[in-house]
Amino acid sequence: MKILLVEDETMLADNIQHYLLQEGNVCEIAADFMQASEKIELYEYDCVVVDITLPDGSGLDVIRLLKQANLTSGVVIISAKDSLEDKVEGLHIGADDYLTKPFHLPELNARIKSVLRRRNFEGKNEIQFQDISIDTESQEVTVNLQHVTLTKKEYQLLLYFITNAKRVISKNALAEHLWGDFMDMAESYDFIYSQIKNLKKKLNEHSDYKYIHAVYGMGYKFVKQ
Amino acid sequence: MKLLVKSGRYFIGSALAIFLVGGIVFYFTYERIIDHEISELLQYESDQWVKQLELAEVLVLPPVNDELKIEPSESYLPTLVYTDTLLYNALEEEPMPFKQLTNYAMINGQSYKITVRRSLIEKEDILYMGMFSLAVLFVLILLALFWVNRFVSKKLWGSFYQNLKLFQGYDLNHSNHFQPIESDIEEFDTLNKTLVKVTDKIAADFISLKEFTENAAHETQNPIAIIKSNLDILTENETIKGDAQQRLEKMSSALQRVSLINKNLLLLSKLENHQFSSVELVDLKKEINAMLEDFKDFSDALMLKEEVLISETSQRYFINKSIVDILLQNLIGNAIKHNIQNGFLRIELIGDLLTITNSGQPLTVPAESLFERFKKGKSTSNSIGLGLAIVKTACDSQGLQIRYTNRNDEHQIVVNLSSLKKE
Repeated sequence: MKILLVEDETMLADNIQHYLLQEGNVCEIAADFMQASEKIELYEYDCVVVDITLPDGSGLDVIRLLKQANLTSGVVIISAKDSLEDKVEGLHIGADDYLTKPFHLPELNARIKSVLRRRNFEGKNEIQFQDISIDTESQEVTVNLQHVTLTKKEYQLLLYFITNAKRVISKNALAEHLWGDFMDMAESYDFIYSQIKNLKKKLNEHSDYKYIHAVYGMGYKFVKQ
Repeated sequence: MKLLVKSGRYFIGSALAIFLVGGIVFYFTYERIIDHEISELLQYESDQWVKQLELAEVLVLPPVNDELKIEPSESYLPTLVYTDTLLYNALEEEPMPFKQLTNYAMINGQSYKITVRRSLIEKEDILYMGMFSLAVLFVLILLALFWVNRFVSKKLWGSFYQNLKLFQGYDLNHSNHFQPIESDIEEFDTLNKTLVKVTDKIAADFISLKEFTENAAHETQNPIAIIKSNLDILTENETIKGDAQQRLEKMSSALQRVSLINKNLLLLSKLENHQFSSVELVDLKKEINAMLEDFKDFSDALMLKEEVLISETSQRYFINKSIVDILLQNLIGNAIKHNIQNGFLRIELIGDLLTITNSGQPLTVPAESLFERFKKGKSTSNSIGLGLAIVKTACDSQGLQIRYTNRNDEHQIVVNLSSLKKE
């Protein structure tokens, strides 16, 4: 996938680029509005990740440019402002998602993949991961051709793991993904642990593979064998 | 006590004292003057009679009456004697006071005793009249004082009271500049100018503090994002092991807290800046149930007994949707976070009162400070202590009353929604 990252914080941009490159994407950085508009004119991207506050303009204008040029790229807004107005405005002019800084890189990755999935596989919403198959439309999961009933949280967890497969994901990133604003409460009860335990059990019942691995002191890893 | 009542009391008190002393002085002075006048009159009359007797060719004594008695006398005293006496008055059928002067005259070798009298009734009448007019004057002055006081309060103190009212209604959160009504009275003008100066300074400090909090929280978002993404990348680094790994995890948790504090401080700034002003019709019943659903994982883990009592009448209010989310999320979140295993959580919405009651540990901080920032019971808890401060600020921004009460291990928060427009 070809991704354009419009972000003026160089250090953050580098880290995002690093993460996305490891996912096998091509990722270019535009540090301001000028660079972004040039790149949009010259190349085509599958997804544009755009920061709203740029030194020489607004990220929202980058999105407007994209839409004027009739480009079908997916758009994810990343903003330091947790502003409902910006979010509404952004989604209204054609952004697909809005993520507030600071965020975990696996979270951004999951959002980008979800946007691309929605854009590119219209009508075909199936994710295949070894013997796991997920229908993102009906949220149904089959493992080894057998239907598995997952709770909402377990489903979200599985999808998050698969989109960030082979990578170590910290407990914090998992908690934030599952409980968002309430994650500080999740931490205190070790909910992540019990959710993962349940998911592991359900997958193991049907699959011959051991997908979820705990990385001591770090988090969890979802692996293909 | 009101200033005018107090000053009025001093006025009346001093007027009373002046009139008492003045009345006494007046009484005695007047009495002496009248007495003196009567004495002079009697002497004049007596002298006249002496002259008349001396000049008379044929001595005929005038008839005796209450006021005059001339009789031949055995003795002769060359002095004037004034005495007070009582004479029986047949008309009034009672004794009347008189002042009399007794004089002697030697005519043709015969001594005559001349007694002239004057009734003192008139003197008493004059004194009574004087005292009466004094009393009338006193009442008039009291009345005048009353009206002058009212006039003063209206005219002179009017601008003061108006400004006092304005100042009472002054709220840093709503207006930055205090504008009193101008006065042509120097003292009030000075007071106004001082008030304006002080409030302007406070407002400026308040704004810069708010801006500082907002900017600081906002500006730290990017550095936190950078640290967070670096930690994410480090998490994947397989060469990091053991102790270093654990330190990474601790850093990650601490950063999570910083990020949460930051987020909540930003939210507080937004609430204080009234950035949630648009209202829409919100079904509170639906919102409460949705919020309970969001928290289900946590309430289930504690095996809480949940009770929701919402009256049948419409529970749709005109309110900002984000405010509802903020309120319910923090109130319900708190009620679960500080709950105990097998405890209970009761949410009632009856007659414009939203009541959230929950079991929990007894309070370790004073109840009054509960809505302050960074107040939290146990330092070990993951809570950052901004939840209730946010709830309070959110309520304030919407003009909602909020109250906390507790009975040992039962905590209750009541939000009064009656100021909101209902469907």
